[in-house]
Amino acid sequence: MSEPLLEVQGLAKHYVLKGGRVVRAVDGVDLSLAPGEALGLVGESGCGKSTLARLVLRLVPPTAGKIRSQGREIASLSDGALRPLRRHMQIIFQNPHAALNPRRTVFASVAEPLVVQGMAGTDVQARVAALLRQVGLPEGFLWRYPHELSGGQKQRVCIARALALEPRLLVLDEPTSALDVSVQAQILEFLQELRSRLGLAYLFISHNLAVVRQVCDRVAVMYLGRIVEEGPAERIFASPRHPYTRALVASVLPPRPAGLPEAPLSGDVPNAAEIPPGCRFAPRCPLRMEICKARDPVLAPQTGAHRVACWAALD
Amino acid sequence: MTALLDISGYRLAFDGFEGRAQVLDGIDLRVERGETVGIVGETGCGKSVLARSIARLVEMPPGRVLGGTIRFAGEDVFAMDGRALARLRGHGVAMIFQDPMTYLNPVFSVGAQMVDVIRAHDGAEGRPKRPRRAAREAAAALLAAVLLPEPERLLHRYPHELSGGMRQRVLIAMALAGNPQLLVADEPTTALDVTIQAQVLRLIGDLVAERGLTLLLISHDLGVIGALCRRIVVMYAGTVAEDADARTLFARPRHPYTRGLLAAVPDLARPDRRARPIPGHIPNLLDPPPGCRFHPRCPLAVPRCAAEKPALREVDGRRVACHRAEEAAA
Repeated sequence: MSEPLLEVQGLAKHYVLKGGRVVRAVDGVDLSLAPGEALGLVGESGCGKSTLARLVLRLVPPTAGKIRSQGREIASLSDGALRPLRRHMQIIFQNPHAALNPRRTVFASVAEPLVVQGMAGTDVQARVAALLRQVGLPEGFLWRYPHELSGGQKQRVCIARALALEPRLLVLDEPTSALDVSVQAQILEFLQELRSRLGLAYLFISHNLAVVRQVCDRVAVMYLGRIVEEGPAERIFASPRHPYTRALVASVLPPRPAGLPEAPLSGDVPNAAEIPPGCRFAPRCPLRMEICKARDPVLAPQTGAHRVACWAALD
Repeated sequence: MTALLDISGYRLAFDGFEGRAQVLDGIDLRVERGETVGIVGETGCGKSVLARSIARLVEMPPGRVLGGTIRFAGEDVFAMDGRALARLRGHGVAMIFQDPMTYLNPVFSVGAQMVDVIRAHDGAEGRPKRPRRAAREAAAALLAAVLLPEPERLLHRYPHELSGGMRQRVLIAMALAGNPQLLVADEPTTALDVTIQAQVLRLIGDLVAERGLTLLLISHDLGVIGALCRRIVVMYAGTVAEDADARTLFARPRHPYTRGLLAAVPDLARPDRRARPIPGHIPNLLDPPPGCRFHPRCPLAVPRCAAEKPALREVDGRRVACHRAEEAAA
């Protein structure tokens, strides 16, 4: 296998609150991503998936752990040393309405990364026009302002801006959650086509499992700052091993008259400032045993590149 | 027998700087007692403003009723005086919304807000307002009815101390305070995580069944609608496109928009079936397309569709507004 595009080990991000309480937003994550691969990151609010995304791009510095990106260790690089690497890793946010400056034209927004990286003059305009073509927008859009665009069109502009510097890794943080389903389907179709055309790797964050299944090869499930299960998408969704993954899959409401879902979990998502001892999922877990309250399970390999952090799944 | 809710030819516009947006264009909808009806549609289809119209919560102006009537239990909502309206809101219709934090006052405890609501309902129904202590007991009973643990302690807590799921349960408890006949839930679980969504939907389903409520559930999510509703109304750009029994709608959609919407939703259980987009955009309601508002995006459009607005009519055991509904079998 070729060298991973991205590899993280023991990655952690802790925030200290006033009064000394510690929020362990990301708390020991191992993960790797091959060139051209699409990895889905799923979990509920507060599980640390967005913090993890920002860590691998070094938008926030980690508290501990290693991040190897494009062959370089970047966890402790200075901003100056990071700059040439940044062009190869870009991010798309959930809300395209907030990600574009309302007072700048499409051209100004998409040109900015090129200018930051030192491109000038007529090269910029030709490149921006080419980028718009790449995301399926007509050249006439160059001089439009965000308010003149629909949500789907704005998201395409954000993608054009992210593609400007020819990234190898695109982090997509809930890229379709603010869009209507008919537009979501357009963007999903486009993202799949873009990946095969440009050989991009995706770290695709979403709370919507059906969307992740459509786009991703592999899936990692996060709960309270940890990955609890990881493996090929079809295995994770067809035969989940971790009780949390099972609960997530069971909570998905199919577009059918299916009746009410069995509410598979009681209780609320706990707070990352009060992580329970032992297995952090134990307080909500239907399969809880004695050992779960005492010892933290490790992410152990199963058959077929499938890893699970659960005492009950280890037989 | 009179329907619980009878909306007939209802047309609503909003006047703004750019002109008049025709947000609802002739809505016909009857809901009988005990029905569970879902309204589904995308941004701008008018589902929320329709829901608010039922309790006369649309501000006029900028809103302006261009025609039609809304009757609740036979009474014309637009003709109600202040007293009748106060009784309608809460005792007739209770509403819950997407973002519970917006509808809770952050500076008052849960108990204080619930006591106010309970006593206000007493006033609206012409009873003497019960003493605060009795209202507090009623509030605790309502919190227990929505399965919140330790209701007495919860009365002392403030909204920011609660999780999203708990806040939504508090709002549901408040909605029950007036003993409503119709519960209108506008995207009640959209802001919640999926495992919490499952809990809250189960609660709503159980309350509707136990109390014999009529449910009008508004959502963009066909999965949420499919979980709770026996009947589904599909809206598009201020019109009712299709109105059918849930099984019929999912199995044999007739309106091309319904079919497009169903095909656009990714289905976890069917990964081989890719989500297919609907081409084009939702129309600008300042200048909506003539004839059928869906015709510019419709794969079946013929010249008649741009010229003549299709009536909502009976075809194959459901109501559908499409000139070509007979040909559009799945």
